[in-house]
Amino acid sequence: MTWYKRREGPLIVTLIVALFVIFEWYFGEGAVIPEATTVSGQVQLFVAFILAFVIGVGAVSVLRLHWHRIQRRKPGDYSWIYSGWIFVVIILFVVTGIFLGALSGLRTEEPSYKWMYDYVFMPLSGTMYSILAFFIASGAYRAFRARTAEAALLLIAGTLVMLGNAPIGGVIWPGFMDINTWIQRIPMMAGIRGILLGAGIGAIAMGIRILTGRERGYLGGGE
Amino acid sequence: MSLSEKIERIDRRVLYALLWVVVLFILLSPVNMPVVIGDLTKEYHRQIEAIPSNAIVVLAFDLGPEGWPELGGMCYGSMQHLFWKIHEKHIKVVMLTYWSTGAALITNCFGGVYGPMDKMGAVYGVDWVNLGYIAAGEVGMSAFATDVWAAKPTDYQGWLVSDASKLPIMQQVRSIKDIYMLISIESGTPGFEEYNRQWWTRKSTLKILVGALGVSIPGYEPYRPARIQSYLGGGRGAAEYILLLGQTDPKILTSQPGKIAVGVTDALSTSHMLVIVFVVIGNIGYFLRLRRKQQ
Repeated sequence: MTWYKRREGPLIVTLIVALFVIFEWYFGEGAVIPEATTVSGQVQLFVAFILAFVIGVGAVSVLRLHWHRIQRRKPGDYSWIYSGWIFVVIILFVVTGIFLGALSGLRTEEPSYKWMYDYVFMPLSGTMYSILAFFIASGAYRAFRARTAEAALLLIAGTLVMLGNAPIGGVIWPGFMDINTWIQRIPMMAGIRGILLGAGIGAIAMGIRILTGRERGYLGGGE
Repeated sequence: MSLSEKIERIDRRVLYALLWVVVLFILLSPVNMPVVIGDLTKEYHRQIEAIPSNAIVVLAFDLGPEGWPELGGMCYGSMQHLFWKIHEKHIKVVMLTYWSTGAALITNCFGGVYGPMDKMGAVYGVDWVNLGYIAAGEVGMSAFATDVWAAKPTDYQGWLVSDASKLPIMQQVRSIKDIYMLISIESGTPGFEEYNRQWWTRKSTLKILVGALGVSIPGYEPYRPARIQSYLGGGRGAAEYILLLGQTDPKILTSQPGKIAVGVTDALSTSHMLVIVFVVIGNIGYFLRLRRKQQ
């Protein structure tokens, strides 16, 4: 296998970069070794630049995917129109945001870009998110059934939390707010803290596996 | 189909239509149901009131337009509240976002697009600054915490943060050590979890206030009050906060975000009640069917 296809290279880079950042965490703080902070800072800035560049790569990837869909359109199937629309919108935003915005010096304040953001993107995003309310209402009606004792407990707790969270709950009876607070601060917090601790320990284990080269999923490909 | 089955299997389109009609009706004919201001909102307000003179506060709009209908009132209210404090206590405010879609929300908010923002004579670059979008999420937060100037060399309009003649405020903002408080109004990742890992762990005295979507609230409770001093939860939190600010300056109640934040509480109450009614109807149908089966 040619040298650049071998997996040892990325693994060594990962180990070195991780050690820089971990070293800075323990020894750079309080200027024990100020150079550690400098090196770690440079590494993090480099990552920030790469991630900013990746946004462009992502846009190109999306455009390629939808270009293929347009090319492979079948008679009677008009879903390719959505792919075409994505092309139009991405090009419009890129042209108004980067070219017109940069040329005029107005950046994101460029009027046509701002108009699309305020009057197209804003209302559409809000609409998409608010559709959730309908799914929640329908889902609650179908799933919240007291089939077992545990389900009944969940149903009662859910209803009390809903009453406590709804502005009218506290007006009907202030006790709903207290019950809601108690449910959130005692039983719910115990459960969430357990989950968070478990996830934290899992993250440490995963970090050690990556550092020692046992976890290679992030390199891509498959075995 | 028996009655119990009919009750238990109501077409989802009927539920959607009912919810739509009820919410639309209450939005068009608000009844102005009373709102009880909760302890968390009072504490959020008190924490901002207690910011010491000349302290540096970061106001982060870590949200996109999808979160604006729910969080807009908090964004607008927090920004206005901080401008009042700039006037009263000469605090310094740094605005930023780690969400690419959040940058325009900041400029719209202080630019008065959503309603008049009374800057109380605060001078841009001296009393407050907008750094705009900072890329790379959690890594960007980490870089910002150690070296602000390197992580974000320019403000939102391209002025160098190192230029003391244009942005003298930034001479005082070099790392997380200089920041007294973070106010993060957020609708997902990156958000508090990332700030917690990258900012709080570097400065454990950092005060943190959060404004969050209603569905995210359970995730913040375990961090309060040790790491998060207080938070505003969803549309209700926004309404309570705006009402509290309205006691200081009633003008905020008539601003567009203020009106929406307070006006939406009627819709929140009725939609929650309707969901509870749906749940009750579903269970009645279920138990009727169970009874028939047993007979």
